[in-house]
Amino acid sequence: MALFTSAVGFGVVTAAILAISAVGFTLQFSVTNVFNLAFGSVMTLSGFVAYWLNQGGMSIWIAMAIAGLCGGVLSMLVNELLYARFIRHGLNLFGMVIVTISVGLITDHALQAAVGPSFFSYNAPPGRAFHFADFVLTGQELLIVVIAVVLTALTQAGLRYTRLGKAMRGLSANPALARACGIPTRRVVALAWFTSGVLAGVGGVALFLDISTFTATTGSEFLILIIAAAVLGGIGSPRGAVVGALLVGVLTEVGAAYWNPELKDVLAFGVLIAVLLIRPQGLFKQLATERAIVR
Amino acid sequence: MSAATQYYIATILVYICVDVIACWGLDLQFGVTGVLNFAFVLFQAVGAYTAAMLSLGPSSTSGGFQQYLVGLKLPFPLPILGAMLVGAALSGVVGLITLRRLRSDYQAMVMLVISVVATVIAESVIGLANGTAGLALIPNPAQSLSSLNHETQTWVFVGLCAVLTLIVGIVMYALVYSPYGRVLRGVRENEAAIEAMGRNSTKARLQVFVIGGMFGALSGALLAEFIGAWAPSEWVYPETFVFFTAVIVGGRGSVSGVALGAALVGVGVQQAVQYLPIGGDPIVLASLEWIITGVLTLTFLWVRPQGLLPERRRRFRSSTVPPARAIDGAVTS
Amino acid sequence: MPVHGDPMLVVTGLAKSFGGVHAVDSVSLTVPSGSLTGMIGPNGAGKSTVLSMIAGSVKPDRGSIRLQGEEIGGMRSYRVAHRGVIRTFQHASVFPQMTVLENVLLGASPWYGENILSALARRRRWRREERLQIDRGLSLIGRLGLSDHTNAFAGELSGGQKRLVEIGRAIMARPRLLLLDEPMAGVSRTLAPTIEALIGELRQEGMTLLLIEHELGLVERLCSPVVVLAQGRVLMQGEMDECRVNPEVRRAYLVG
Repeated sequence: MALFTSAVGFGVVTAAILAISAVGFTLQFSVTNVFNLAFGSVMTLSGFVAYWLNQGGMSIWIAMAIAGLCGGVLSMLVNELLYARFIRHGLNLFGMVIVTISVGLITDHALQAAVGPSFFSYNAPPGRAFHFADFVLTGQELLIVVIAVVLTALTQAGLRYTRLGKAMRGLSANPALARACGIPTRRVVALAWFTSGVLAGVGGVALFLDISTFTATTGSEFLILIIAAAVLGGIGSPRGAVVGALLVGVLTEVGAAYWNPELKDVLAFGVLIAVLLIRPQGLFKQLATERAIVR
Repeated sequence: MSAATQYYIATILVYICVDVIACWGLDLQFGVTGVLNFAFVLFQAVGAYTAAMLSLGPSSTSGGFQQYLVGLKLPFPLPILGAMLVGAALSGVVGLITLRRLRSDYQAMVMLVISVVATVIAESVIGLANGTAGLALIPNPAQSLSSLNHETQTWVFVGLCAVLTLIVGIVMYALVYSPYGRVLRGVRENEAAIEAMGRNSTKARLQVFVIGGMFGALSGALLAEFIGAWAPSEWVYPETFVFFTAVIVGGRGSVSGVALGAALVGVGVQQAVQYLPIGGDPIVLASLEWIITGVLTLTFLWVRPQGLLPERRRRFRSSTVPPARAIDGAVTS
Repeated sequence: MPVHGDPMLVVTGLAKSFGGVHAVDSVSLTVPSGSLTGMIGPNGAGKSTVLSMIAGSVKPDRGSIRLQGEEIGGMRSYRVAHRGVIRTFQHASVFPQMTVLENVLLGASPWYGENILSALARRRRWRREERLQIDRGLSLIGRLGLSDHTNAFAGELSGGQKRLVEIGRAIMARPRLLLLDEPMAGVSRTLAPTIEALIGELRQEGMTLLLIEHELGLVERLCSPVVVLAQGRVLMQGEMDECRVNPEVRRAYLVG
């Protein structure tokens, strides 16, 4: 039992990082209808921005905020300069996925060529130890969980109560109708990219903090888990992304504790595939029928 | 010609054959039928591992320095045939799981996840295929021709690859430029319409998934037997996109176009990078290959999405139209 | 107009809800053999849903669909097509990157050469069949007035031309029952008479058709009988002039 609760405890930290990232990933999909497989690269880049700031003496937490902003701006720019143009050019959905993959590959490998294959880590003290029932969380880990809760709550609140949030939801539910109603599509889409970029940035730094050493490809490696969490929860649903993140986060740690640490991701993926077989639209089927994901 | 140059040319030729066969498999799935198989490299890997396990002896021999399943020490051509069978079977299983009523890009995500899961399993379960280290000392079928010297053996293997490429090419031409190929393209262009015309699109997708997977496995078997080794690092999930780039650059749906794309992107980029005057750091060179591949994809999708040698427009002539001159002979399609 | 023998299609108690909304609520209608039956009604009446259920692309919640006595309700669309029910779509559904001739060829019933083994092994036999189909297809394209576009990509044609290709493709299939979903949608004024004439010819040649249309003039000129739908229900089935004077129908069109 102790093993289980401690696994759950650690799982919550992984889930926190996943939640930040998965909400960003799924939010952007809900507004633009494109799977952004360069998301992991944005995480990595932001993580490195934080690294360079941190090396220069800045506290990692302030660097995280700045890196988040950088991620947001970068995502918005890449959309304006590249993705939106391809869409206007007439490229279909499958082509767009390949475009995002290509952008991700170019980014990752350009970064790798620049910084080399070495491992990096942040200059960030773990903080006091907080003792829970059967496990210990460091101050750092606890702060990550708090940030995740705050960010996801803010995102949900923003979507529900602000004008732009409502516009985003309108655009995601029915793009044609939203345009007809005069919603400034381009601005809303840009904002969606910005928000998801910020979440990617913060998630990237949180990820790098949690796993202690990172390389130029760490973000993209994590992307598969993000996709798993987002799809499990129901793609396009931020609420679902949080639930999916919790499930995946806890499952991976439980798998590591009880089974084989090296195969911990496999348990989460196995559950994902099983869920997709039985219920392809995921747990919260917010967008599934409207976007004809399941035919 | 020195032995080193001979071996270099032979290597290039084998890699071209292997890439062409693999890209044809992917083209049948993606170019002709519109199935986004983001797990394609997995089927190449399965072919490689199967050929290895069938041609190696039991793992306990030679000191047991590598662990793996099976080990039947079968002679040529059984390992290659076995690889194709296993590739086809695995494609069938994966296809049945993923090729359901899901939107294509969503399906692709599921396949991507499967590819990653397979890599993780292969790396962690040592007894399966020797984990991260992979398999080595995979015998080359040409080596059993002990009467020939090493160089001639290599050329025999090149000949084998060339013959197999030719056979696969003939099969591709026959399939794609036939009524069956027309149905496949119909599935790609407008699934609702092709079903309204009485064709089962799911069955067609599953069929090309199996055939394409079989070709992928064949390419893996040849590659593993040539290199003599195969490890998880050879088939990380981004490798699938090199094949996609080749198909897009060459011309999706066009058999000759894809062959050209495979040669240019698979081998050409890798070779071109070696000759750039930027020093020999292998990490930088590898990164540069990926960057060039990504840029190629973006460029072609923007400027020329139909590829270098686009799909031919099929023109038919009525059989009742007499030839203009007696020497024109039979009408062609 | 003479209407003979058993009805081609009998729909009984067909129903379909989408997320709590009753799109189709207990619809029953009959399509007599050899007739050009029209289905009219205001927007949202459920006409397209009924058609889709007959064609097999939507699964009914309840009800029966009998094609010359055989139950086809709930069958997948390719099975229904096999049984001789061919449909067209509201947005003319062509294969854009294939030529007009290839589009039309795909209309012919699945024939030899369409599976892997015969594609590989029996070239001579399917080439012979293909030649016959090509001849049929070419003369059909001539009848449609599209001979100049035989080798053009279908995606490059105008809306009306695409519709002609779509109907031509359906004709190739020699259907027992042809379902036309708003065939005039997206068709220019120049081509509309051609399509209308074609539909009329098909009926005269003995084909059974079920037609959804908003253009009531066309329905009046061609269709007999006419089924009126409103809010998922059948208001009446009869001749067009009967429908015109029916008070329920008039109310549905004003209100619905």
